[in-house]
Amino acid sequence: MRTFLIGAALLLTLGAGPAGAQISLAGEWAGRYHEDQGDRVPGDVQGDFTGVPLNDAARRYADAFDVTRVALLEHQCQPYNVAHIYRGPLQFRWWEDKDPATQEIIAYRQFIGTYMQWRTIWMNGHERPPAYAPHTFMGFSTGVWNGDILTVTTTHIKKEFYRRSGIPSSDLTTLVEHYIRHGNLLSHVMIITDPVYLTEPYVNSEEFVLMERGNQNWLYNCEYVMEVPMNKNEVPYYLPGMNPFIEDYAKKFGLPFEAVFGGAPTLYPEYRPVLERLMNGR
Amino acid sequence: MRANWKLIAPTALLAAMAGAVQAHHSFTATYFEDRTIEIEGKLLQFMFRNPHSFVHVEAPDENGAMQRWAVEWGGAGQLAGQGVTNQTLRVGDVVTITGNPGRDPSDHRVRMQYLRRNTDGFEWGRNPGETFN
Repeated sequence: MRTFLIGAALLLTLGAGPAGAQISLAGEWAGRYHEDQGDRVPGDVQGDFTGVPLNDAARRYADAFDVTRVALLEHQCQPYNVAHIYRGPLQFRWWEDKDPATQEIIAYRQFIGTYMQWRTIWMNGHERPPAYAPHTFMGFSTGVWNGDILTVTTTHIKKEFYRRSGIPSSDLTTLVEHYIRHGNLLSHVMIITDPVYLTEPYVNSEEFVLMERGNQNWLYNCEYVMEVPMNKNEVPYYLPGMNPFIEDYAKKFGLPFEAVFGGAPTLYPEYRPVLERLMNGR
Repeated sequence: MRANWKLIAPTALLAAMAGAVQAHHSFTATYFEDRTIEIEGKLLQFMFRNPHSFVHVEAPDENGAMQRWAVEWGGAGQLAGQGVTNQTLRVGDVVTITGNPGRDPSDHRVRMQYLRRNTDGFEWGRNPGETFN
């Protein structure tokens, strides 16, 4: 009888955690910018389209895009959408919503300091809304654990940009994220598909560090002002082929413009001989 | 006492990043970062805000014609960490500003690198950490 009781107690102890007991991501995380720092923090000269599998529609958009457009009253405080916001400087707070009765996780929540954005990642089988449901900058997210990797799928994302150089994103974007914790480091991988502007998935990764001492810098009091005196009804743009800055990045780094603007084929090692030929031919 | 720059540099970087906000535009795409201009004139407006603050100054251009210059500065959160508040500058202050000119000359915009108020010598941009992104 005693053996039975000990065995039962052990079984209960082992089963004390919920079936899905996972590594915790709760806490406050701050970005690290060793990767792609130039693009992610200050931004580079115009015309950086490297690493993005953009299609012809995206090329046309980028060609017409004037970077000062985001200074318009309507756009100054426009948040980056969820497929873009992690690419900039940010910190986010992560916490769990648990069912009081069962202590099972209903959802993960995120508060992102930049633009003060809120995210909910449903973990309880919440049904995805219909396609016509409102789209938001943070979209609709559901999550699932694969081992210790949290995989989050987000749809219903508002149109924005993948890069400030004018590579657009559409409202048909789907974002798949993988959150992978290693101690106090968090790796974040984003795989973006967009049938409107990308020819294949666009992959990015970022690192975050757990803040052992939080800070109070969580507010983002963005105000609309006339930053630069101008006609408020004027929208900056370039006619096709008239963008004087589109080749600036290629020129700055001595790259053929075809390689910078080439999309998916330029992302793979097989492109190296082509690049070599282009550069030797100059 | 000598400053320990090995310690100051990372500390300043961390302090700067703590309040960092991504510009809604790329600085390098908007300004000529390899060029510098100086303007001196009367402050017309100080917009202490996010994503970036702006200072409007009435000052002559290279031809002597008076222009309203839009000088881009750090976000409110980042500047606050450097001791700048919405009361730091007042309309009517006479200031000298050095910075990167905008790529479109007709915009008369500048990215702030250094500011000096001529009446009391208040300065920004010369001390470690006085930068923005």
